Amino acid sequence: MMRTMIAILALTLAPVAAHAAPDRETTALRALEALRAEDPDAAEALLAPLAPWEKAGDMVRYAAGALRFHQQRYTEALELFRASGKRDPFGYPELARAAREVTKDHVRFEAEHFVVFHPKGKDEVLVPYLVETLEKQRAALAQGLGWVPAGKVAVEIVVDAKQLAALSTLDEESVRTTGTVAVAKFNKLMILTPRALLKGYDWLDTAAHEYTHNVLTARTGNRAPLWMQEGIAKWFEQAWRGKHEPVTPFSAALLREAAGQKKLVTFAEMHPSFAKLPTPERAALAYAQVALAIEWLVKQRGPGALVTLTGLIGEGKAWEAAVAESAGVSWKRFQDDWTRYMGQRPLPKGGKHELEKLRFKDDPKKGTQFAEWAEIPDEESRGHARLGEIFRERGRWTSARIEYAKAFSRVGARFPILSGRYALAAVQAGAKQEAEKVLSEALAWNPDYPALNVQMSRLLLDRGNLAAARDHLLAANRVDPFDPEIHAGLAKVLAALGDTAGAERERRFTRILTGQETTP
Amino acid sequence: MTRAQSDIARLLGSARRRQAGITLLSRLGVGLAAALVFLLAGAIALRAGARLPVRWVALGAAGAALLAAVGWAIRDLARRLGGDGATARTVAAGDPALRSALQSSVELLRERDAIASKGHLSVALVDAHVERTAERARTVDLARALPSKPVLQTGWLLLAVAGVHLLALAAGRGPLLAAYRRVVAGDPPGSPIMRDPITGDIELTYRYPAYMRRENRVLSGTGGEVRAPKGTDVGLRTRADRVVATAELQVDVEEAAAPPSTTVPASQAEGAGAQSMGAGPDAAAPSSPPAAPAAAPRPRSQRYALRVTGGRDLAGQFPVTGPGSYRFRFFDAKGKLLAEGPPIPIVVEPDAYPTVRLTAPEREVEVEPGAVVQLAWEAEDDVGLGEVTLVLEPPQGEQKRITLRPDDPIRRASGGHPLAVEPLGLGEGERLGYRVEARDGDTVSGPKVSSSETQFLKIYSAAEHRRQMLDKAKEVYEELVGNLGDRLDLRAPGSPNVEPRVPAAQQVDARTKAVTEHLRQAARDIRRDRAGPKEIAQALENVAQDVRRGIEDVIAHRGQLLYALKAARGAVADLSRRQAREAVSIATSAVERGDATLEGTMERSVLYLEQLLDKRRAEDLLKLAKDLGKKRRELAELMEKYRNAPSEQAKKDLLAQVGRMKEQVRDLLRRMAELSKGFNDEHMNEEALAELAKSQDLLGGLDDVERKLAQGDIEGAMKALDQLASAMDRMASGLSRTARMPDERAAALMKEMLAFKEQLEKLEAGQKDAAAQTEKIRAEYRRRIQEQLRNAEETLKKLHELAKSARKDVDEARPGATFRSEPNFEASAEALGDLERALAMRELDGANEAVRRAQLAVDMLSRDLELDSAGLIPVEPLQRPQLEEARRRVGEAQPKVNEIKDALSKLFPDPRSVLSKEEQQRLGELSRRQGELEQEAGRLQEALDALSKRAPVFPPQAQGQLGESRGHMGQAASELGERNPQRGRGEQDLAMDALSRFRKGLEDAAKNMQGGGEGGGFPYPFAMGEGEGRGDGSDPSREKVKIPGAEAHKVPEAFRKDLLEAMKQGTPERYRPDVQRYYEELVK
Repeated sequence: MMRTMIAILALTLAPVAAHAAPDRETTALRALEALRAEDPDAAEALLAPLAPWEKAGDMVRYAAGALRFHQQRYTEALELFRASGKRDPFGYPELARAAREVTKDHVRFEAEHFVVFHPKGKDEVLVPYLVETLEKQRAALAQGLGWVPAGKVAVEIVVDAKQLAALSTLDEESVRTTGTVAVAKFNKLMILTPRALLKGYDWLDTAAHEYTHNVLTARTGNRAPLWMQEGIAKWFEQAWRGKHEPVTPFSAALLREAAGQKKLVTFAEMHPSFAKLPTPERAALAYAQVALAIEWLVKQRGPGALVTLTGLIGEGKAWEAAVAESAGVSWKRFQDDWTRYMGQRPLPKGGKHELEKLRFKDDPKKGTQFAEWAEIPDEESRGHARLGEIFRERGRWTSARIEYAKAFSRVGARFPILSGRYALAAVQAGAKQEAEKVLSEALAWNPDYPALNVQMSRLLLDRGNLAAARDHLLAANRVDPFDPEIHAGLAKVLAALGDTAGAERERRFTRILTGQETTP
Repeated sequence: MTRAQSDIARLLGSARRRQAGITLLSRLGVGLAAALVFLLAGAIALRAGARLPVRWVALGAAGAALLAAVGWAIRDLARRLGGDGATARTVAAGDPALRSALQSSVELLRERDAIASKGHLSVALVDAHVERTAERARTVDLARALPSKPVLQTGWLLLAVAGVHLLALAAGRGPLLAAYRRVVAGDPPGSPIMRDPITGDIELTYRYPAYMRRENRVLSGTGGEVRAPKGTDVGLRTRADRVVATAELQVDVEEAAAPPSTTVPASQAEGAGAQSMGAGPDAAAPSSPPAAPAAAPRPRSQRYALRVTGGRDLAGQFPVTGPGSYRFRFFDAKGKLLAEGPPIPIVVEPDAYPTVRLTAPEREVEVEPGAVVQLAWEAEDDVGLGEVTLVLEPPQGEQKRITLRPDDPIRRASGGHPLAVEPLGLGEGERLGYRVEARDGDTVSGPKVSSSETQFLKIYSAAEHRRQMLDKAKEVYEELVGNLGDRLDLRAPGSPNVEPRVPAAQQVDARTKAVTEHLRQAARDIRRDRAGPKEIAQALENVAQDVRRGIEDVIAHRGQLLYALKAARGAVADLSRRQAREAVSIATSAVERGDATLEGTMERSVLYLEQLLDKRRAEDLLKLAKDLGKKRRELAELMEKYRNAPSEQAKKDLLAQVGRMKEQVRDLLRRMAELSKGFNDEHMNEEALAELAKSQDLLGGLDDVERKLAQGDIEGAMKALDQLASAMDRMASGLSRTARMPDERAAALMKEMLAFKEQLEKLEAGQKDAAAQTEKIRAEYRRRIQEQLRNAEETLKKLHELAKSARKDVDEARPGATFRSEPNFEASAEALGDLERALAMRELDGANEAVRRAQLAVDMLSRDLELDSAGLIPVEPLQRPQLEEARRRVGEAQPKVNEIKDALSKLFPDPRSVLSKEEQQRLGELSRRQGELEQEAGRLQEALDALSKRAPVFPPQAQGQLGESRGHMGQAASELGERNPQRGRGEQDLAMDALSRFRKGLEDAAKNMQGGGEGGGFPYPFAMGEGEGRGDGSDPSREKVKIPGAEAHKVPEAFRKDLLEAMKQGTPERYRPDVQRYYEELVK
């Protein structure tokens, strides 16, 4: 595949290359090939002897431009592209222009192994958590895959789907359809800020997921098939917090149903990108399928199987053979076992209701909170919930609590919006114990739902249970970090726990998020 | 001096002092009152313009009055107290014997020494007389002998005078007080010296302004005071009190009314003829004050030369320019001022503003867009009316004026004007302000204009009315929500059914009941408004009914609970405590059940009303958006025209149209914002919110159009309008989706409703069919029974007598009825009465049924009396014989009833013995079928319950009627199972009747729901037809009413035939006793 691409590249760039010396031209093409394989270090090693590139041939200038683009030095890249002529088969100049446009006012934050570029303002609150997560993920991957690249990885935070599409070569429609919020490509991670979505998303797990792609690409020389890429990334998604739960209750349910009806996503459908799948449900299904392939492999052969697998592919072995070797059975047999496993794996708690639709703030076609109520299937319960809302809007907390309780008693704690409102009304009506019970049950179903975590943290803070309160606040922060209450709570907790610097940072974040302080 | 002498002397001394005080106070008081009266009179005279000497007269009179009073007092004192003798007379004036004794004692004492010396009288005798007199004198009460009445009378007189003063001063206010002060204290230093008149009587000639059309008026022999309207020329003739060379008038005009100070020549002042009189101007008059600004408030002077004839005859003229005064000034030949007369007042008679008012229609009326409104007005002026104009003030654009009457001066005018509304181009809901202006013909000060109050015509707007009605509905909805909240809150801290909390719960109950009233009232109001959404009215009524039913139960049960709780508190014995606890427990359960049911009803009602209100408001909003779209198209057409034929007027029209559209868009946005708050989750989703955001562009778009139009960029404006069009389309389609959403939900419900309807129809058809088949068998059975009964006449007569006798027994036992047995007495008497009647009419079915009832009731009665007689309850000794007699008589009635029952049983053989095997088999099948129908009715009942929970659209009695029908079906199945076609058929009739009432109730409800206008209501497919109104007073003016003709009292022929035919068929079984009773009542 890659060879074909390079051949096409050579043909399309022929007029440009005609002016370059034959050895330089070949080197430039090799450098481009290395960049296509997401290996800028190799490309730089090839191109370095040809410096200064400005005086080299057009082909070298083009390859050097592409290299600078992969190194996030967009202005230099554009200069080199401009000097190289107008032919542009891969869109690098356009991508570089878009990247420069998007990131021109970004703030740069440099950590030990990561460089974060973020928009000025509120997105600053993401940085410490993002860096901490990625560092932890790096350590987890070093253990899980047996290797991580030595250099620094760039992370660019974008503010909307449009920017993400402009930087990633995906089209905006695909981003919205599949709910893509992050992409690892061009030697960087591009992450959509959680404030672009009505209720945020699991942005830290997503960053860890994308970083896994980055490492995997380097480890395998970008030779791992897409399904394996996504499967391993999904498998390691929560590794930074010591967990391996690759499927959500919803996707597990989807998977069970699709396996039964033989409507699984085929490998062909998965290409060229999961983001190109027609619906979020198909995408979720595809992720679940490939994640379970890795889970099956680890279950059968232990965590070391992934070190072997990625190592073999990195060495150039065909992926089917690598799978067979690391699994100890033929690829066909592995496939059959995997398919059977998908139909039999026990469902995690939550089942089918967990439809985690990603909702873009600026997309009117996507659901809002109203739709969340509509997800409650029991009409009578919905009626009581609505009555609860009616009373809540009128400040009748006791009545609201009674109505929410009626709804809750019919459908249980599965619906976070209901549980959250019930707990809120209970607190307002003075029934804190009842609220805590409701929240505990609800969090068992929806551990990541930020509002529930925030509410729980309030109660815990009230009781002086600081460590637990902090955990809930951090859990909320993993999804909706732009809620000032989270940071105010953290400031309080950290101060009480003796982390003065952390408390001061959180206080500052609170001020930023409430508009009391502006960042330079 | 002896003691007697000194006592007499003391009495006389005291009397003298008292009398002196009384005399002085009373006389001087009268003098003071007179003096005060004179002073007040003087003040009034001064206030009225009298000359200053009047002060001296008043003061003199007052002084004289005081002096007279003093004199009067002295005279009286001398007369009454002038020596001991006079004093003695005065003291004893009311007692002649004492007077004589006292007087003689005084004289004898005075002469005592002389008597003693002369010896012509016995001194001892004198002393004895004196002693006696003194003894009597000691008893004299001076207060009675010399009453203080004159002092009191004088006090009252003074008080009266003081009251008169107060009244006069209050009425005359400051000026009279000032005058009074002037009378008492004289003028303050520096006050102008009031001069004496220097002329004789003055003849005044008023020449009124031309616009007044009044004749000249001559007043002779006046003091010169002028009272005339402004602009009047006043001519004067008088005679000086001395010979003068020249004379002039100095006119002082108050305030800003006067023109700047000038000297007007006599020639001008007196008109054309003045010159010939030889009077000249006095331009150089030294006292002429400098010209002052017109607006200065202080008086300004003008002088007018007078014509002098014969040294003393004076004539002249001046115009009335304002209130003030004038005075005569005389000069000698050298121009030296000889004399200056006192100021003579000039009073301006005001020319009042015209008055005008609209007498019809009301201050604000609502009219149809095509209406012609009859206006009526009245106007009046004290001098003469000028033009009367109708002024129209439309919401946009310029004022319009219509002349109602021309400038033709008459004092009073009135008229009407038909105002056509349509040409004014007003939109729905817009208000036209109008008023009538009237002006007078004052050419002196300029015409004065008056205006009536501004009244308003409002163009009827169905949308606005609907909105108001929705607001009303929303108001009661909020009340319902609040009350539901109160109910829920009530049970939050624990059960509201413990004794201390019951009163609080009762208060909430009372409020709930009030809410149902408000719901009904709102429903009535909405129905009365022809734009009121009828489905909302119906919904409110349904909710009111449901909640009412629930709350009445709760109120009743809670009352019982409270009673039980009190009883429990008061119970002392173990048994009664246990019973009371049980009663409390039962009542608590009942209240809790009632509360739960009511809560559920209210919850459903809140959700149901919310849905309906949201839907209706979304529809209204959509309509508004569509209207806006129409206006946009009109604007586009106007632009097109303007492009083809530009003109300033067309541009104005365009901008006005844009202005109107902007107003409408603002209204739309405001209401959308309100609605977005009110929509519930499932109805209003992000589309509506997004549309709201999009619609914000509308105003910006219109601004753009307006700006470009103002710049003359018609192409740009059209382009901007096109862009606006697509934004508006988006908004309309978003709103349409929102408005349709509840319909989608309703569609699902409609499906279920239709299925329910179909089920009901099937059930009715099945029941009818089963009844028809049963009827065939019953007819056969009856035929056979009738044959058997032909020979039973004697038996029946006997049974009738027996029944009569049994009833008599029971009736006569009645005086011995006890508390326990009373209900069974009632039941026995009723059943025996029915039995007697049925036997008399040979209605054996009825008799059979009645005897069964009678047997049961009489048996129970007998048992009760037995128990009472056994002494289980205390019976008063006097009542015991009656009780025993009752027991005996009932005991006699019992075998009679049993005998009748046995006899009737024999007459009515078991149907099994009458019917063939096939017929019995057929009855068995019918019983099974009837059982199936009963089960179907049960399913229908469940469906009704489920649907009712989703929306309270069914009439409240529906569930009961269906249950009743089901009960009869079950009973019919049982009777048919027993092979009794007679009773089985009867039960079938009852089942069909209940079913029919159930269906009718649904149809009535459906009819009530119809006519809800565009919105439509909740799905409810039971309507029979269309166009049937309801007699609830909904907009009666629009209903067609047929006036009954002279033949209307006649019953239609076909109906009479039906009645006659029905009469031939006899009375239906179950109504026979009632019919019989009715006829019996008639013949009584």
